[in-house]
Amino acid sequence: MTNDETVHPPRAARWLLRRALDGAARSAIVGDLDEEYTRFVVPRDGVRRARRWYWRQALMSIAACARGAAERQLDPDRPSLINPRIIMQDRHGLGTDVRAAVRFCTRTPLTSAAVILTLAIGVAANTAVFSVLNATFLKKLPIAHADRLVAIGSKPGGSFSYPEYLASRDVAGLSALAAGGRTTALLGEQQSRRRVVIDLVTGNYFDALGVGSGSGGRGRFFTNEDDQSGRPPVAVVSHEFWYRQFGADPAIVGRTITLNRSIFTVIGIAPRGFSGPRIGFGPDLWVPLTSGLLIDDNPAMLGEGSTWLGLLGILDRQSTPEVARAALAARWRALGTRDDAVIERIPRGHTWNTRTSVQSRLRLVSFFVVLILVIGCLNVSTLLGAAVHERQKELAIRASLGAGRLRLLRQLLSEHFLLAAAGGLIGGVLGVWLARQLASMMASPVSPGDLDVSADSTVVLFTIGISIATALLVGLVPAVRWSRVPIVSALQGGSVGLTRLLRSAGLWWLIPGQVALGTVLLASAGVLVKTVYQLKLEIDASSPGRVWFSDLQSDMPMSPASFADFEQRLRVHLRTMPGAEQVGIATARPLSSSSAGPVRVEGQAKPPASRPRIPDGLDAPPPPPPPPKRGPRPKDFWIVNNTYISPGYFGAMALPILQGRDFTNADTSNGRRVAIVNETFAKHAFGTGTALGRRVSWGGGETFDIEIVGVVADMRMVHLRQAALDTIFFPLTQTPPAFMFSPTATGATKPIPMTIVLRAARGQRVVRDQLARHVLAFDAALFVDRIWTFEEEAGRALSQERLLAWAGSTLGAVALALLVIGLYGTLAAAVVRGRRELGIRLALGASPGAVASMVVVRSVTVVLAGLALGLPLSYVFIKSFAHLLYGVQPVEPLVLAATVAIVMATAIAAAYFPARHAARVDPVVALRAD
Amino acid sequence: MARDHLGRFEHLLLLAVLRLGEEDAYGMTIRRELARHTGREIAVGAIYTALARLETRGLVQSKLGEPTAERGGKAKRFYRVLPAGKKAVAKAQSILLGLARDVERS
Repeated sequence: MTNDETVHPPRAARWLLRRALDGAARSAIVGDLDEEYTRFVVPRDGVRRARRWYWRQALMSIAACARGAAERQLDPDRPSLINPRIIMQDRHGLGTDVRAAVRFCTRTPLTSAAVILTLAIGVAANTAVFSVLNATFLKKLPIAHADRLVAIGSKPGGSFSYPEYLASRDVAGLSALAAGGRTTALLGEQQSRRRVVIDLVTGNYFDALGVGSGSGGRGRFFTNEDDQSGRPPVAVVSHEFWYRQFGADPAIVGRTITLNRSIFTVIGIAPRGFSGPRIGFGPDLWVPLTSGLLIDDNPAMLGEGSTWLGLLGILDRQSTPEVARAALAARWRALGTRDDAVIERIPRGHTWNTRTSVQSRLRLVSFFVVLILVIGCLNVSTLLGAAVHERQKELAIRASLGAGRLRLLRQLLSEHFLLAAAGGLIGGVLGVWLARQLASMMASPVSPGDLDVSADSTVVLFTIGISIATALLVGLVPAVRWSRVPIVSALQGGSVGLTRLLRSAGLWWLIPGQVALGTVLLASAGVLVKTVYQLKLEIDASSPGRVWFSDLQSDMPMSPASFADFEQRLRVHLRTMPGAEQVGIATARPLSSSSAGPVRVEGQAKPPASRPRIPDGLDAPPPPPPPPKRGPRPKDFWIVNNTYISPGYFGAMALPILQGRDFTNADTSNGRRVAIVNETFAKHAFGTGTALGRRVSWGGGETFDIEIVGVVADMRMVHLRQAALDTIFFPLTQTPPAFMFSPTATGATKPIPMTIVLRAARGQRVVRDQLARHVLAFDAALFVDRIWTFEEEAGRALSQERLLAWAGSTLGAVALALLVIGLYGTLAAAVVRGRRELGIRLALGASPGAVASMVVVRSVTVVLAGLALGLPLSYVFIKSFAHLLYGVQPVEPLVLAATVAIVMATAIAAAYFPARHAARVDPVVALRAD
Repeated sequence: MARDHLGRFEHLLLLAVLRLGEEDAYGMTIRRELARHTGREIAVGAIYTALARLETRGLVQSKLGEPTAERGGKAKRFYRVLPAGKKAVAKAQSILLGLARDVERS
């Protein structure tokens, strides 16, 4: 049973013990450790620390036994507990090999450093990306009983009321049932207020998720007593928020904070990495459910009518989801509220909606890092091959003194493994650090930055695995090849001809392979960089300029009737701000939100086909809670984007009205319903005919009661990569109250957050603080959450693209550097070893220029061969991620030309010094040398 | 090196085995006993290495117990101090005491 995994000692440690120790001692030691672990250490220290204890014991024990074995070498009567297979039982033990390897590696520090560095880069890049993948898709949720955690839904609907929760506790099959719902509140007072995300949770929430005093964190967590009305209000802050907001001040525990004008005492800080059942979507704070009344000021929220709670269950150890489902369904049918229950295990790795572009970007980056590792391997093979070649004489001497082929192979392999181990170790450490940087760079805007990329055993095993694989890959081939030494010819010191050397394996396939893969990387990086560039151009072209956007939140209870007046007064007030030229208010922000609904046009039987709002989920915000089902959508509707806006919005956005008129203050909820459509919509719906005066129905309505009074110019970009879509605008004051006034599930009636669009007069600089102060001066219950410009919002959306392009170009640069090292190393070695032939050629009258060009031509040919292989490869590769590109074709002449030019320049640069060296060989010296 | 000379760790180890008695002295209990008294985490492997050394010197003797389920079916290896071991401990003790007495007096 998988549940017992936590109680079992760490498997890897046990495996290691069993491998390392000898027969009798093995079973006694493993038995002792297992017994102590289960009986004493787990109950005393908890599983996490106990596992660490076990590992320490295992490693220390192996070390102790190995020491014992070493003593035995001095005194053969001593007993040995270590597995004899681990220590080679011949005179040249593993130690001898390792010592020889260390000696050799330090004797050629340059080659060793190049090899270690290359492998370290490859391993680091892979470890970093794997850490992110691991944290995203593989890691268990950082909570106890993660494998028994289930989300509980029902038919119909997945949200529950508080009385329903109370009635559902203690059912068969579940060992705990907790509930929670999300809300937001203002933290702090007056000017320094800021909006925070709060999860209102039941008193047993932390307990059910296994967060207690022993699991890290500070202070204490909620108990059922905290979750009773009349108790002093308390809160727990997330670790992340504690850092950001309170500067990681431990004294925050016990202090009070203000949430929506109520005072809460902070009683605890959640453990690091804990974000509730959904990684990456944790709140800033947790507050007991019943204290939610102090935040949302809505007495109905705990009543039967408010269904807003999500239920989380922990399955009984011996139970199945089916038992719990049946029990819950029976209970609900008795209540008469629901027909059936739906129990879903909460899977690992659901941090992000798997269909978002994040996944395809991660996949692309993984390909990149695998490429760089393979390139690194080819490079190291080249270097090691050259290094071993250098030592032919030494190997031949050893062979002639009686060292068997196996002996030489072992020595060479242990050298290569030593290098690989050093590279892997450095790479692993570097990779863990890099993963942290990567996670924080990925933090916006799709996911919050609380991805826990810290290395766990999976990451460590992965790193060890790729290090070993790398070592085998790079070490085995040269070692096998060179362990068979032609003793006589090697001892005779036959210097091999330069021509033959220039045709060596390295130059035949290792370097071209490296060039080909490097080309793929560079070309990919090129199109990604071009994508960022194109998007940037598009953003600059689309920017309305001189416009500030700000998110407006309101604490003001407000009836739909008084909204028109409020909205008008607010606009007038904002216009009085010095420097303000035009002001509008809207329900959506350009670039980052959108809503859409069905439209029907009068007199049009068959509307144009609907288009998706956002292509393929690119840059979509985190998935919203599932929308209520509205039933099947009739086919004769046309899904278009919609926004509710005030008069002045188009002016502020610098969008000209092409036909008809703008909205006015007279377009109120009492007046005729009107709409303005954008150019695209008008063209799609009416072709060359006029849109003015045509009537449409909205939101599935049967009557055509909305008249189109204007056509406005298209916005160039509504989302990154997305030009104008069919859009219909309605007056803000004609917004359906149900949309405008029921934002929270708890049913409080305040207007939903809106966006102010403020255009500054030419030459006037409106400063952020000014706008915030001005809004606050209008009414203290208003609150400006965030102020930004179009460019900033676009830049935020662009950050993912930038990250990808950055990763691609960095790795491309690394590939180039490796190419220079490999090519230079091979050519330089060939020139040195072939200097006798060079000497003869020069002595027979070859010009130094001809000798130099021989080297350069060879280098260029090799690189051309690599390019010939790499260009088609990169076409296929880029084609596979074409959906991530913008304004670039998979075959982009500019990018291809740049790639070829860079690679060729690299080839010539790498050949420059060896060629110069070849040209300057002194025939006399070269011929006398042998 | 005298045949009955004890290292510091060996000395502690023999005392722990003696304290626990024949019925109860096996790897885990010895480890816990030493950890409790010295306040240091000691590797169970180190204990077995030392005990194996003492066994070849004829100071202790081991025998296998019954395998139990909570040890994953692994048998316990019980240790017993032989007369030679007891003598070595006594000698080490007297050396220590003698030395300590001199220190106390000064």
